[in-house]
Amino acid sequence: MAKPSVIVEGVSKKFGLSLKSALKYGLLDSYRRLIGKDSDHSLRPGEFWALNDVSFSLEPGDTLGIMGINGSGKTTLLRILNGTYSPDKGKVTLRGRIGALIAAGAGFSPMLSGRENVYISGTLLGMTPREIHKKFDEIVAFAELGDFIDMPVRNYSSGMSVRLGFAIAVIGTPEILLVDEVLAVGDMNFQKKCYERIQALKDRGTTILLVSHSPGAIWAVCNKGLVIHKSRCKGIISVEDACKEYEYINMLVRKPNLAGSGREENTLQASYEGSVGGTGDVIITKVEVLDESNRAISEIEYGESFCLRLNLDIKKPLTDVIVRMQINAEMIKSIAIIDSYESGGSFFSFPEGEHVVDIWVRRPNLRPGVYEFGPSVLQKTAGVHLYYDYCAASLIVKQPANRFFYADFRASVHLDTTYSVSTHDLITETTSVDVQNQQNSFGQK
Amino acid sequence: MWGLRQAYHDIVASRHVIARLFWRDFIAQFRQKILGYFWALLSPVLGILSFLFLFFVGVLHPGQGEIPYMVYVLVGSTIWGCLPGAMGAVSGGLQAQADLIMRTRIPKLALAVSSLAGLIYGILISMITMVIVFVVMGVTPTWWFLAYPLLILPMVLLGTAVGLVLSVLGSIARDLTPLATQALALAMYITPVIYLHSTIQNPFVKSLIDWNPISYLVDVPRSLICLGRAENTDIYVFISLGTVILVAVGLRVFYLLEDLVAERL
Repeated sequence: MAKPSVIVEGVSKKFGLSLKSALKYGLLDSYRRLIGKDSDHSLRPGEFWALNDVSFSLEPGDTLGIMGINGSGKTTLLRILNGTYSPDKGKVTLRGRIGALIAAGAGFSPMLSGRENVYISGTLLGMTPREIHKKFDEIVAFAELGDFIDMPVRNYSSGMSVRLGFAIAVIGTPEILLVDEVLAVGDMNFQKKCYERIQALKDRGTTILLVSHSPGAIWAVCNKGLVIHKSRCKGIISVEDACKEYEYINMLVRKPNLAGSGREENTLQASYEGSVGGTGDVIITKVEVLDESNRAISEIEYGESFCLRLNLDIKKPLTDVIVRMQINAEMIKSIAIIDSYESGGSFFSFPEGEHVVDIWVRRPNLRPGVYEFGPSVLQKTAGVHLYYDYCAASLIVKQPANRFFYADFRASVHLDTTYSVSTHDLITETTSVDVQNQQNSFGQK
Repeated sequence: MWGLRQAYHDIVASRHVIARLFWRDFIAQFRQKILGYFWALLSPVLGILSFLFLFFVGVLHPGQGEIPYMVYVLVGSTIWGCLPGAMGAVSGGLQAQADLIMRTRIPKLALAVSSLAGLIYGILISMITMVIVFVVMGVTPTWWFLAYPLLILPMVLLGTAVGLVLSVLGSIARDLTPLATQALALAMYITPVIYLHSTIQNPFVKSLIDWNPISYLVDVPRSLICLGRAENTDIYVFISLGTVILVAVGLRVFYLLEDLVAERL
């Protein structure tokens, strides 16, 4: 078994919440060090852990995708690995030459030409002048700059300078490559080239650590995953599990705080201006999502049935009542509508008092994501909503354990499909296609 | 020993980087300028002209010594300039290269001292300026002039030592560097840079100048260059050794505190 190329042991890093505390503790720590004591590693008032007790190790050829929502500590981890920050606790061991691709293209001198900047950036990334000279043509070719290499960088488009930055970083042959959110550069062909280059480095045994918000990028490049949440991580997991966990954390963050349920009658707006309104004849006091054991839930496994329970406070006897539920996904409103008349073809009649309406949704094909429920009560003869609430409840549909939904997080509905592959000449016998060739090209897609 | 060995390794390992950074800054400052590289010579000449103006309109009454006043001021102020020059370059080095600290693994010491390359270049240019003024004034410098870079080394070392401490502490408390710069401006008044020591009457100021170690670092090289002899050379050598120790102290402080800097840039 190869020796680990990256070992991170119980690494923690803290920062001051304000510049004032950073100044105070900075001077205090400086004083302690100058008199021979170590810095204070405990958390003091006005400080927070940006990274807390993170441990993992990687072997040559491993590709680790580091995921986490904004402010979770990903960049801090990458900077500690890069040697920019030193950890307050724990230890980092890296074996091999390190290439860092943190904000590609930054640090170019705008007045100098691309050629001059290649030499400068290459040197800054640890290449010797001879190495740069040897790889210069390769860099220019990779960046697709051609004659523009002698133009001042300030006249470059943002795409050109990022391409050049990326090219300089990946044409060197690092043994450990740290990449921070820079794969989404250039057009599709250039991006594909970047991925191929990273793949080639990986095959050569380079250990790659990639920080990204894009599960697609992580999934494409990485074989291992690490999710950092609130400065902590659970260690290395499979890349698919990491993407799923990251999506789940994202859903928790995006899940709205519900303020719609339990409103008093006197706050009800008799207009369509607010998010809650109606005539006041009926109030939905509470909306709950229940599982099959009738427990109130906020998240559910993919594909499981659930019940939407509406608690109605009917202020006066009502007939011809329709109960409707709008289901909204995050990006698209009204992905589905449940209407009691559409479903059953009849109307409800309610005497005055409190009532409970249960709506069962059986085996929904909702893809993993956050869904919001907007209930309303209508009366066929009234023409306006007796009550409506744009968002009274929400539900997280989790990633299934045995399947990986990654293609598009905006999509809401999963359609069960089957695939069959056949060669073209089996369908239209008149064409003459090289069957072997056709199969190969399909297989490569 | 006290970070000197580590400093040596850091600088040797980063020699290409230091050279490239110097080259980058040097080239970039002359681009898109009509005078181009002539700017490198123009700035010091303009500096001398302003002194000359003050001298000829009679604002300055410096007293007359063995060295023509203009030469006295030029050499004195050029030597003095190495001190704030080195201090400013090293103390501002980390903040100026914050982007590189965040993105690359270049030793921080290399980034802090990379601007010194510019200072060395400036010293060579100032030698050319001095030669021009010597010729104009009809003064023949002594052979000591060739040792000029060595003679002013203690000033550069002193500025580097203070700059090293400021580069780390000044990143934590941002007002330390401006404070030190102001203090240095005041220190120039108690150093015989633009006036002659002999013209000072006030005994208190006189003793301040005598006790000011920088006085010797300016006066001895100037006298050696212009006259070929100097008083107090023993004190000069003693203080010079002191500046080497100060650099070691500066390096020690720098290495102790350098990892507190990145998160505060």
